[in-house]
Amino acid sequence: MPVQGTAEQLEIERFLATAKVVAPPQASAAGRSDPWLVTLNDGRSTRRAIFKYIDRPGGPLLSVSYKREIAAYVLSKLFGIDIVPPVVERSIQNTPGSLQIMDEGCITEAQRQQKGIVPGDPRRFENAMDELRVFEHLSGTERPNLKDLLVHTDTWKVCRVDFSEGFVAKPELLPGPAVERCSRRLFERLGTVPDKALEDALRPYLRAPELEACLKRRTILVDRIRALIKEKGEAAVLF
Amino acid sequence: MAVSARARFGFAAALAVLLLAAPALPVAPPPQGRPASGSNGCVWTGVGRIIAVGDLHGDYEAFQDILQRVDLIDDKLRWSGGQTHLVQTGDIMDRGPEARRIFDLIKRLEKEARQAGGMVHMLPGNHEELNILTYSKNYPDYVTLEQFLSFLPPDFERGQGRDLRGRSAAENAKFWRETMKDQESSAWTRYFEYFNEYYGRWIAQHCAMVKINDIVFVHGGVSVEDSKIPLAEINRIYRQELTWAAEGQFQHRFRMLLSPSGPPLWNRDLATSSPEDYAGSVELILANLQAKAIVVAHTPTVIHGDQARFGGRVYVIDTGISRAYQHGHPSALIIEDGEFQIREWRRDDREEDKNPSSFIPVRRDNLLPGFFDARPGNR
Repeated sequence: MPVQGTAEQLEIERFLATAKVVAPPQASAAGRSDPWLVTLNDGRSTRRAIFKYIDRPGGPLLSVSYKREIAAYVLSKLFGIDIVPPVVERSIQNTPGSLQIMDEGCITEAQRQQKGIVPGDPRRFENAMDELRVFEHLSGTERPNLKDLLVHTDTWKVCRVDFSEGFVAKPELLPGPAVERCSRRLFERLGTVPDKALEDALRPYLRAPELEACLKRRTILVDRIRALIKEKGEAAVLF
Repeated sequence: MAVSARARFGFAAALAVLLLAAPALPVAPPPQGRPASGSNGCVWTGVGRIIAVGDLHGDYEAFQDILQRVDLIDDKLRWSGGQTHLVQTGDIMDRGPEARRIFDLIKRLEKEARQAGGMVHMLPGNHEELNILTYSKNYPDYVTLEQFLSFLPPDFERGQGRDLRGRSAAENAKFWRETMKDQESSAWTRYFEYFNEYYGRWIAQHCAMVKINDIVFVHGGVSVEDSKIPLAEINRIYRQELTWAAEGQFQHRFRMLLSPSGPPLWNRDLATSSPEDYAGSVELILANLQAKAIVVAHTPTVIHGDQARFGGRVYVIDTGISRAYQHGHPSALIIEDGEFQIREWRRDDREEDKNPSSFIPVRRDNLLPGFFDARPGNR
């Protein structure tokens, strides 16, 4: 099953893969993953992107890999949810890494809460956050702080960035908030996307234990949501 | 052997005469200020003069220059600061050539300052943490050739040097640069072993946060959440975890090092959050720490005179002191009798001093507070 994206996603992927780097990459005020801020131009438009290059999947204390940024994007496309900004694998200054489009028209969830901005469409925002939580469990990526959640205050769409420390090789759901609700679309895809399609899509970016754990978490998630439906009724769980 | 009472008296009398005749030995004055009991030297009160210096990134000359300008060392590089407390807020390593020389100077000044009734507080920064954890090799812009060679065991370098006899300095440098590119090379293993044995374990014993006269000093910052942890406990955890890491004991559960939630050596919130969004959090943090101000570094703020934030409740003292920052400048924060004063100096205009080849230029050195606050992937 080839991984499809929307026309917009494919266009951004093309831009990221082919646009010229028009300014020297700059370090951002960032931390352990030391991302570079890259300005790209394809002759039609100029956009900014985030480049990550650390690939230390087997660190003794902290496992980090830029490849997991790509894995998360591929996974989101495979399950038909627009939750991760497009990212491609690309070398910059002879350094291989991931290049992710910078989502400029949004604020972080940390900022939203600090400013006390109330969602204009609370139901849509709540649904987006619940779907995101399912995805975080699926990808085994904890949410260390609210700066990794990007909120579009015009549509109340929510995106998640920074998966480089995710895809933990633990075949269990994350600690913290459990899954309580899920979109019908994602639940349907969780139950129907074949294991082989998942393996083929993620194998270039994940190590075998990480891939295996992701497959097991998918099964646990499906069982969990089915149990919730049985207990609370479909209307209370699916949207 | 029996000793007669007469002989014992004679010996005592002779000793007394000797002591009286000897020139008076200098008696160390008591340290100015008092360490709080149970704080393990991380909380001090009653200190008259404090001088804080931010990220040095291997620039020994800049550090020496600053210390002389603020009268902490004399022209022989001996402590002349009397009872002053010097706080170096971390990030001595990476980007520049002479971290080891800075560490060696600080090791000596720690003793001399204590003898004079002063103190040197060297706090670990995130670059020390990365080197202790052996992760700095993953970042091509961090460890300079000179720093790499300075922490290689002498026998290892000599061993390699046998193979390099007859080659020019340029060829040698090329050889080592190629070696550094191979992150699995035995040279990196020996670099980290040597560094951790002679410096990492020593760094690990220092406080990660100190409080002097109700002012907290820390490399990166403190989140509201972490500010609820008692200072002594934060320092106990850091000492323990940095020591484990320096000894390669990774089987333990690490709580603070590399925590994903912006731990004190990595946090940038105090330096980058906008005052209108974060003022309430600053007040909470200070209340939890029982402090009236907090001094951080880590986030370069190279604009002259732009170090005070949140109405002077926060000072950001990383001014890009190292010549790795093309637009940075040397500075020191002086706190005397409760008054805060930033002293800044323009860098020498000589072209070769701006970005010498032994420094790795930082890709961006004019960060403004909040610039990247809303950007993705900022951890």
